[in-house]
Amino acid sequence: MNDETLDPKRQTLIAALYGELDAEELAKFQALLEEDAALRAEWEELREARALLETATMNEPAHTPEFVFIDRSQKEAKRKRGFAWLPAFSPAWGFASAAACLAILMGAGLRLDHVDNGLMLRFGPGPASKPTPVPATQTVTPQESKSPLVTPIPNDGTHIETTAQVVTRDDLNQYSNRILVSLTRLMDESQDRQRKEFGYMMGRFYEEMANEQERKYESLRQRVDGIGLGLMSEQTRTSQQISRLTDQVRGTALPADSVATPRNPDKDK
Amino acid sequence: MDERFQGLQDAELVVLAREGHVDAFNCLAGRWEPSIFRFTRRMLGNTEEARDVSQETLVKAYLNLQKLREPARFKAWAHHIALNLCRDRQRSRKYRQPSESYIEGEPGELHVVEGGRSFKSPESEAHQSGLTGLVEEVLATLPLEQRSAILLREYHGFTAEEIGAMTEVPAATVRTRIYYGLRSARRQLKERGVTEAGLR
Repeated sequence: MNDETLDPKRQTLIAALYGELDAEELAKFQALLEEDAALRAEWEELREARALLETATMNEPAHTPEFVFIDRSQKEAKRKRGFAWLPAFSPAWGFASAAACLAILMGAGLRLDHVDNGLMLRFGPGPASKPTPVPATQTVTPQESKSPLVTPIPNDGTHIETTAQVVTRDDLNQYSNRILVSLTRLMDESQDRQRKEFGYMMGRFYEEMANEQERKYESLRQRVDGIGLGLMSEQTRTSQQISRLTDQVRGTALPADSVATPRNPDKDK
Repeated sequence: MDERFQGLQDAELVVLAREGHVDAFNCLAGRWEPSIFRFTRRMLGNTEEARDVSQETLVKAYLNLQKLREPARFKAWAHHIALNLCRDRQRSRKYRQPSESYIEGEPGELHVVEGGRSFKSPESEAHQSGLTGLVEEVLATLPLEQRSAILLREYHGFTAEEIGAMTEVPAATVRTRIYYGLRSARRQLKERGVTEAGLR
């Protein structure tokens, strides 16, 4: 690239081309153009180049600004402004909300009834006292219905008597005791089962160990027997060899009286 | 975007943005992003790359806003950042691609030749038969410094002094680059049969 600085005339040419000259400078430049044909030709050339470059702006695709910084602190502030009345969620608020809901439901008549051997949630006022059975009317008890949770509602005006009672602390204690007993029994049974399984496994283990010990003892005994038999045969062979040697010695033997006998020093004396 | 900022000058918006008003910067970005995008598109010859670079430019501008000494010169400063990013991109292209000289295409087929890399930009495909694409193709063949000087002067209204401040050269050097760039562009267009008389 040619970065060598242009002469002042051409510097002015470019300045004039882009309208950077004031009136006085422009007048001087126009006078210069009239004098210098080469400069005039360059002026025309550059002016035409500019005119052609301007066409590049035609049909230029439009660009929609798409750059947006998001300020998180402002977003958070907006959210807080919009829901300021809402407390921030926390477990304590969850429990408090649940308790409030329960209180509202109880205020609306929700109650926990003891039905037979179970508990039942019901709406409506509880029985003030145990109703006396009216023999003349038909009595429907929950046991007669197919489901213990569904009480049949006759539409013929008959009186409905249920065995539902208000649960007392004693009832709850008894219920808890029963649950505790059941759990204890289950745990005992489970422990028994585990103990039995453990005993069975240990028995199997000892049995296996005894068998293995027996097998090893038998193997050892067989080896010892083998060694004993070997020793016996060796002894037999040695005895036979001794007999043979004895016979040989007797065959070439000296007369009996010449056989050296140990001297008895006492006798010599 | 906050409409309170719409009527403010660049300098005021810069001051507000420095104080932490993100919407003030968003207003600045909305004001100058189209110009930055057009500049980077012509510098790089690729729409997607230009979009990336213009976004990167604005992010850099936001992060370095405290370094801007003259808030009124935000536009020139942002274009300066864009120019530097375009230079970086072209430098990395040169490392990636073996350098080739001019690539001559089929008649009517527009190629943008950039640091030995030839590609068809979506615009050039869209305007293949048009003069716009041809002019952009010719501009793309100019050396980077001449091209940037012409683009900033011709399409973005910066003076030679402003371009000189951006590119850290005297204004006379900028005029020299414009002079040679315009002559080269005109010669190439003439070689392809494009003249001012033909436009009429």
